[in-house]
Amino acid sequence: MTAIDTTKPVASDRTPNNGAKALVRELEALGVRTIFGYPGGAIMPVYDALTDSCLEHILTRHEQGAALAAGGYARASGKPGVCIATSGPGATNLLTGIADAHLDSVPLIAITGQVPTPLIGTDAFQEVDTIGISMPVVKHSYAVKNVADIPAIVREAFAIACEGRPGPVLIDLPKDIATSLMPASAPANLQRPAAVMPRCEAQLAAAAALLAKAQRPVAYVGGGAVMGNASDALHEFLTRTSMPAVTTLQGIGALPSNHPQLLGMLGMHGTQAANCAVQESDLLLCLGARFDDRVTGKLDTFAPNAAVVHVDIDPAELGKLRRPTVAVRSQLAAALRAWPDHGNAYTQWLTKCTETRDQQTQRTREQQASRPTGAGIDACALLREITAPDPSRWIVTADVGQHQMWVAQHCQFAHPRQHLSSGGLGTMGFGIPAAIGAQLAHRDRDVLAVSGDGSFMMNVQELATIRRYDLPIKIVVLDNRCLGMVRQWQELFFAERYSQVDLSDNPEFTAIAAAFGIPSVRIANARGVPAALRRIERAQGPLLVHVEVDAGDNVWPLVPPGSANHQMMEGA
Amino acid sequence: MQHRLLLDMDAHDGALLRVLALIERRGFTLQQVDANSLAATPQVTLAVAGTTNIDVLVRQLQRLIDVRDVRITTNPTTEESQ
Repeated sequence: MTAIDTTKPVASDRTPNNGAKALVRELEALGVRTIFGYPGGAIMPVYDALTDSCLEHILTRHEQGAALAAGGYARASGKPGVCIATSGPGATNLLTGIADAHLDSVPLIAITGQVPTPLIGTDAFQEVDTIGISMPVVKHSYAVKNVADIPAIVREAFAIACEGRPGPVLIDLPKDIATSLMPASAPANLQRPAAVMPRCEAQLAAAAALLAKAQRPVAYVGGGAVMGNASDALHEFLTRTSMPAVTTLQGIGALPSNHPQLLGMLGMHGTQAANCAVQESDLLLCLGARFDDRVTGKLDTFAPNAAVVHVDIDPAELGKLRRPTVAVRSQLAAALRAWPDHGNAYTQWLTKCTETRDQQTQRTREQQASRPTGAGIDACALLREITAPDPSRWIVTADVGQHQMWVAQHCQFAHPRQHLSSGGLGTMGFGIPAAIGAQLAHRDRDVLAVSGDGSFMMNVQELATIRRYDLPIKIVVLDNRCLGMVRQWQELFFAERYSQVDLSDNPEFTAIAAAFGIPSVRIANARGVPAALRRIERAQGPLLVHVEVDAGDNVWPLVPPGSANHQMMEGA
Repeated sequence: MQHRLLLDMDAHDGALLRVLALIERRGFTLQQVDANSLAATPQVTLAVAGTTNIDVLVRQLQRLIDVRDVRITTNPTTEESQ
């Protein structure tokens, strides 16, 4: 792995003191160490300034890879990720990664070059309205008009990306502004009024009163518990209340997978225990979650008899989809610590919920044990075998599809920010670049990217980035030779009329790995699993494990679209 | 339902566009726009129609960095939006 070269100078005086240099210097001053990007015409002044900078620039092989890697860096570290690209196609290629960060509330700074100011609006070469086309998927954006504003804009962009509910901020920098000389003095800030958090004592008290009289409460934990660093407060709260908890896809890791009060993930592919507990609850404590359709199923049947206490840092989420009985705009940890004990009042309810969970776990293990030896590989068991021996070891990135749900259901985690998954946007191609970002955020950690044969091909070029920087990422490609999730839906909901899901002409993935200089192993049946696990365990550098799985394997359980969450389909 | 909204804005490029685009994106229809972008703190008066919760739209508008304040200026009518 390439270490940070701390001997490189910090923005030396060999280049003119221009806007590009001011931007790079401000990134350095904000503590940025790693950025992800791809050069091009309009952003060349910034790349020129980078040659004199201590910033480590990771050259991805596609701008989408840069944006998703920066997102992975931010998800794994909690610090804003920075990506950079040129105008036109560079900017449009970033968009998917920006939207991905927007939907999952990830702090991201996207810096795009723009054609020189006199050419804006003339349909110039590589000109697009980057501000316009990114507007729906950013928290805020800046079209730089004045070189003197650059330091303040960069500082403000970082503050906005991180404060409150995090999100992506875009800075669009015309080439002539980047090459303009900085004036001797620049504005210290842009005089943006500081965000004011309203007091919420009355709402917290009202919520405490609901907690006191609840018989069957459930904590519904979302990504806000991870992004808001509320995991410790959540642990304490659950311990002193004996309340059962369920998590969303983004909430995975907020509690350890083996937490005694955790019933698992809820929603479309959630556990029976989690979904049934929520449906039976008389009080739903929504903690940094947003009643997403993949969580609620048919909204008006979701937790039908429950009062709702909704805690969120973002007031726009309160009442958006489910009108709460009590809405609390607050930092999650502060709210959780404000609520009093209730003397383990919910112990009986908790026991009922955990018994359902344990019975389901037992049934699943029996089904897996009855799978004939030598038959096709059980992807779920494989994922558990990799992660269960030490749940704190791996940072796991998932691509999007059936394997994403298997990761969520079966990988074992001990801490927040170990499970990185594209939940809101569902971006196929997320897994490999996100793993690159996670590895660069935590150079001493083990990073595992779990992909499918469809998703893998969406950003396969980033294998070159893994090789270039010698990142010891382990990649598991679960190959069912089809677009498995779409195939599953066509099987179940479109009368088995399969349309454009066959990928049986996939390239040979081990040959692809070899072409990129990455060692690989291919396993096609259960007998090959132990040796593959040993390779994963022992490999010092990157490794690709090509796992052939049965094309007929489906994700279970499944709440059919338009159904209530208790109407779950179970596999054969 | 129709609603009238009064917004206090920062005089930043693109601020009005962000407001109008958000309203359309969130499923409301713009029926009237009265904007004075020359003022130091521009005010925008909007008539919007939609079937979803206007209070949520107000909070989504307040979340925009260039929007300082949003107020509902009159009581909503019961007229149905198309």
